[in-house]
Amino acid sequence: MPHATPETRLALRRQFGLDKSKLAQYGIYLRQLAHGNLGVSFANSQPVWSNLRSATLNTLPMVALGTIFAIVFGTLTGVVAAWRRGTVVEGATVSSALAFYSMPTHWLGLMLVILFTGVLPTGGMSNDFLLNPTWWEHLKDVLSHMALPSLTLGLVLYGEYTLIARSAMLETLGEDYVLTARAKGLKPWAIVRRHALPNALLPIVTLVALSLGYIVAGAILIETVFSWPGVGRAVYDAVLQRDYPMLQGAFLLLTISVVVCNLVADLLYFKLDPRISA
Amino acid sequence: MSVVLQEPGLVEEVAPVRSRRGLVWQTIRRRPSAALGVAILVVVGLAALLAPWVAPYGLHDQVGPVFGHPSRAHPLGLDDGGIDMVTLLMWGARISLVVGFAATAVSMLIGGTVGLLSGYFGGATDTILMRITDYFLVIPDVPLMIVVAAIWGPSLFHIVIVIGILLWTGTARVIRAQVKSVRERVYVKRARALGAGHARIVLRHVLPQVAPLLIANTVLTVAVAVFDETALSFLGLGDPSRISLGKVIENAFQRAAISSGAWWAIVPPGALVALVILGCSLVGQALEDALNPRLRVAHLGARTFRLRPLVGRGGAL
Amino acid sequence: MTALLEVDDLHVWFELPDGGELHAVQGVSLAVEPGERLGLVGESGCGKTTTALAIMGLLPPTALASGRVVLDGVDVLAGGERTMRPHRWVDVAIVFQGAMNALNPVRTVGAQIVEALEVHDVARGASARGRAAQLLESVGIPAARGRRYPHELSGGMRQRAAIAMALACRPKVLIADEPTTALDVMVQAQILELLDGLCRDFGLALLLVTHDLPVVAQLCDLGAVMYAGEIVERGPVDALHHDPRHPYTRLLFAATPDLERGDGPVVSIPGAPPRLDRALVGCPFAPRCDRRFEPCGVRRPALRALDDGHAAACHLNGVG
Repeated sequence: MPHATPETRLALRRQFGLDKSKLAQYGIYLRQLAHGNLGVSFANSQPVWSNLRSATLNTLPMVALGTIFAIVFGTLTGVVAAWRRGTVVEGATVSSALAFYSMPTHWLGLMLVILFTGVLPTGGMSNDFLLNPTWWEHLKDVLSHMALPSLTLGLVLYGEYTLIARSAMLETLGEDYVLTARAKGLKPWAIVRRHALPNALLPIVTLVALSLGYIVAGAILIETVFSWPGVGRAVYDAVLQRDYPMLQGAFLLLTISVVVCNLVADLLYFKLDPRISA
Repeated sequence: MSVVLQEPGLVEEVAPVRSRRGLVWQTIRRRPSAALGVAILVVVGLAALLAPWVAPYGLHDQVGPVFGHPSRAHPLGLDDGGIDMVTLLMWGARISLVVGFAATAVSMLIGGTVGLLSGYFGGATDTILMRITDYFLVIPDVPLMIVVAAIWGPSLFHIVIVIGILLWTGTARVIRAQVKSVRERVYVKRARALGAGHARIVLRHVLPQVAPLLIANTVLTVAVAVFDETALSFLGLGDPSRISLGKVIENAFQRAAISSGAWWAIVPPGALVALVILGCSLVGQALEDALNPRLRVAHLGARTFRLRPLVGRGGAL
Repeated sequence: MTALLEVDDLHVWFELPDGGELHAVQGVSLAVEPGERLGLVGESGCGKTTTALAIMGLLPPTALASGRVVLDGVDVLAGGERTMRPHRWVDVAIVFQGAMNALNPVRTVGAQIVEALEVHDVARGASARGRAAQLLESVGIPAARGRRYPHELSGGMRQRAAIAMALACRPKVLIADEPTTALDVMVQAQILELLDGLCRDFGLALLLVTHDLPVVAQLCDLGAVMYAGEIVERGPVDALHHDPRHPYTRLLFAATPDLERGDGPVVSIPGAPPRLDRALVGCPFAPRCDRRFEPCGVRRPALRALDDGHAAACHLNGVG
């Protein structure tokens, strides 16, 4: 704090417990954590967890929209690309997937801004100038603001998921039971639907679930480009402002999300694969 | 980011390459995607390398108005300081590639060593090292990079170290798996039985088998490192005294290039980064494919077998 | 009697990645009459599995084929996938080698048999499940196991389940590709007994593809020996055993250890089969043959009929 008097500084230090040793501070932090208290943000003197909560509530819908888009389209195109191996469809699909996969996230966001300026809002989460909007108007407003950031995330992930799906599908299509299904006289689509896809989904689901844990982290770039008030921005602001309680809280949150997603991946695999039992 | 391309089958299958030696050359010759990747990297690399001599204008020379439009003299327009974009791209590529390679070198060193020790010695060493790796893996890398970069201060050196410290885990795992499999091979066991020391075994038997995979992994890591550098620069944590491609994008963003309509300040630098990442991805994946060939034919596909018209019976076979 | 299955001058080439071609099957002709059991014997890589796949129309996209495969009077090879599909499983069914992986791991065994029934409209729903249970019982698997997944069954049971599945639509011809490989000896015997019984009870014709001579001797009436992509001798199994007219057949039988005469030297055939990506001159077996003479290196012997139903491709039976 630049212009505070020494007394104020001291008082603030006492308040935030910064006058104790580092070890003691960490101990206090852990104890508070066990009680669910993440501390108070330096920046706005609000409890960290309430800051994080509102930030997370902002980030989740945007990320969810983009991720679902990517999973659905990515898996679809990946499966089709594997099935139609060696055709133009596959070449086009793989090329476009590689292209999107290679684009830096923030740059893709900027490109979309350039393309859609004037058509879709490119900053913030809602229009501050809308006076007393109805629930429906507010929803439309937020959704229109969410469109571009979600699309950015969706496209970047789409590239990755297409490649994952195609790879898994190709592996599956080389298995003996696919040949058996063909020998039984099943039509190609039936073979894909009943034999190839259920098996290919196993690695696809695992890899996708594993990648989810890192998406929130990647949202930092998108939220910066689109000024979206979410967890990513919160981390970034906290870093710049040296807001350590916020930082610690955010990191905890992000790490937990990675661990949770890994767990979810394991559980899903467990459910989907009859070969694995407790 | 690179977990995706570790998956097999990204590029076309070919029969396994016969010898380890010249693996790289053979792969490039046989697969068009690898050739394309190499071509991209060579072109960009040369442009970056020769920038001081080949760049059309000076890096700090203002040759026109802020965000000048593309013209014949300046095919990609001017940036927010009136500097020629083509020049900026070439110099920017230098720094971006240097950071990419340097960070990858750091990552390779740490990851390769950890993987080697872990895979070769196994046991307690393996467990401890893998625990450490797991801890690093769980931490989301971008936030951690931001924190470390912010605290440590912006300098090229710091950026390189920061990126390197976070990328080594992928390499460590891959190398460890390979070393483990090599260690179980007959000739290694024989060497051990004959009393060869660890260093000798590692140098003569393990490393040559691991080297091609290491190269493939290196190339893929460069892609991630370059990306990470642009991300850090974009968030304002890059080295302010050096112009990298990421910095070019950041400058343009900060100086409201978009609202000025100056798309040429944003699109080309990012496109160049995307190209470099694409090139690395193509080459790295093709190499990995060549090392783990999947010879399986898909039993279902768009085409089935074809018929050849009868040549004639009882004939001259 | 019209043959159920007739293969006429079948050739199969595989495209190689470096542009060449592998001539995997070189002019194979065979016929299977109703109720007949034909054993197709040869070393690995001689083209017998490829022949079996070609009959079912299951060749990969890198393959080129010519010749005729006639099922029930229809040339299914020329007709392509659409023509072939309705005949699959209904007229000719196949049991693959190593049925471990031939069954879908994420679906129950019973469901996969039911699928075969439903796809060809043989039965649906509860009636299909009933039929599936019956089929499992007929191969010696308790019907309740139908609700299990493949990995919960032993290797032998999986193979039997695969056989049950193959019989679902009452085919007239059953192709068994190395049905006993990768199984241990006791189980092998069971499977062979099973095949024997089933073929008798259901009146099936059997095309048994294997490298294992004793299996053919036990199960089949007729045999066809393949080498380097072509049939080099064909005839009743007894004739092949006791009156072989091709050195390869003779050496094959000699190389099989006989439990009863245990102390003879183990004979093996030196050398290796020829490469099939190049055109062959003369008899393909000549380099390894112990009775080769002048014409063997020059002219390729044609498959010539000898006695009743016995034919061989060897100059020793008469040059030309």
